Amino acid sequence: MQAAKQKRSEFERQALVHLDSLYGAAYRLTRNARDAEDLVQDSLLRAYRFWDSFQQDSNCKAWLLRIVTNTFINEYQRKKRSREILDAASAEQDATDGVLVQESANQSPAQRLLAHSVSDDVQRALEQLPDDFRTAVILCDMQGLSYKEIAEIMQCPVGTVMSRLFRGRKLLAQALREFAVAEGYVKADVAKPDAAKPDMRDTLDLEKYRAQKSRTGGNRE
Amino acid sequence: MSLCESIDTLATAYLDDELAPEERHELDTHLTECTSCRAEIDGARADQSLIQSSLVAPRATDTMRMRLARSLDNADRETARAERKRMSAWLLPGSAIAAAAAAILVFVGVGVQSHHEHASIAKVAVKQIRGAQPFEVATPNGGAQVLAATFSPRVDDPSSRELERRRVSVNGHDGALFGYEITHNGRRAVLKLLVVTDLHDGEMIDGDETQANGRWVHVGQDQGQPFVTYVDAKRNGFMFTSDSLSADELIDLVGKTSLVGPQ
Repeated sequence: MQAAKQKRSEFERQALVHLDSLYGAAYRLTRNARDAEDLVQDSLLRAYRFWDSFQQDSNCKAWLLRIVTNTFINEYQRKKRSREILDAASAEQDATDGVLVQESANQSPAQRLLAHSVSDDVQRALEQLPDDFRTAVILCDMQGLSYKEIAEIMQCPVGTVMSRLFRGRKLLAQALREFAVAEGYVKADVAKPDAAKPDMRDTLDLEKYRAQKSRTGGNRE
Repeated sequence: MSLCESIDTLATAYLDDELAPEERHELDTHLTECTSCRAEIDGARADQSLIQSSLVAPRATDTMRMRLARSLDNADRETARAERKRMSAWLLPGSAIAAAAAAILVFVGVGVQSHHEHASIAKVAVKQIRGAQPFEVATPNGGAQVLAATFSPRVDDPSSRELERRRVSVNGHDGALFGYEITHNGRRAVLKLLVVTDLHDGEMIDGDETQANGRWVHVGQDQGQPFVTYVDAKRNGFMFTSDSLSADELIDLVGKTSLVGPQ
């Protein structure tokens, strides 16, 4: 019992202090408050279950963000899809056999209103990004993780992280400016003209740059 | 190779503070003499600061913190329970070990241990319905969603009729309470049905698990009044209770009712 109490207080002290950060990341990943809350709840319960496997000297926030990201990519998306199928199936069932029948399987007016107010410009802009780009941008620009930490979380080389960040930022900034123009916050001629064509060049790679430089750079120094 | 060729890579690493000091110094020097690279960096910096200021998200709410604490409490109890069962399994004869293991699976999430820090939603609701505890003040529009879902109370007894429907709040959860007059086993009875949404782990579960026509439900009681709860996959919770029906009769009713919560 004593061990269990200690585990709980350690978890609260080291993990739960990051709740705001985790919720922020989840909110931008899922793009709505309710899903974000579920994602954080599921992820933290999982983290609690595996708390013994957390290396005490490593970055707890990065470890938690890895769990949030994995849960989002691996399970959350799948669960969401199957939930939609279930919803459709149960709506059909209700229509045929209901004792307590619901008039409409669609969203209630209150839910529709909520869904509307939550989807602000930023969420709409994020929606246009591929998941990998969005995740990289969130982990870097919102959570301040290093390339190495992001590479570990996303299980890809650092060069890929950089490419995703580079492209993700261009696309996202472009979308944000377009929405700002559309809503009349910014005049069209103020929007960056070159943002219209996001650059799709080869993978950015600092390591490759360094390797090439060490081969050719000696004579310049 | 010139710095200009790799400016995308360098600008990204520069702004994210991932360059080595000497690389940074070299690029700084280069930027003083190269206008196009300077423009690249300025553009990337503008994008990044626009993104960073846009990505600020709402903070976690107190409700969320409370729910999380409750889930962790449940996880702690499950662990303790599994531990106890595991210990007792060693003391049982071989044939009973499998049964004990099955019992652990079945009882995950069930409040076997009496736990008084926060009573389940079911228990609180029954106290409210019996008048032993005042109804909580519902939030201004709370429960409207549940009522708006428009339940048609066609209980499969032609003489049943709806007595009431109202918005309620239980343990901070908004919901709706429906009252029906029904005939069951030849007796008139008043059946109360509570519907709440957005339940989290174990908030409603109270009592012993059993099956009602293929559906897993929990049967509990408060001061002798039985109640039966059911939580669907969408985290809508349903509770049946009556002051004139037995637990078995309630289970029978739950098994016969199609329970459809708000989406």
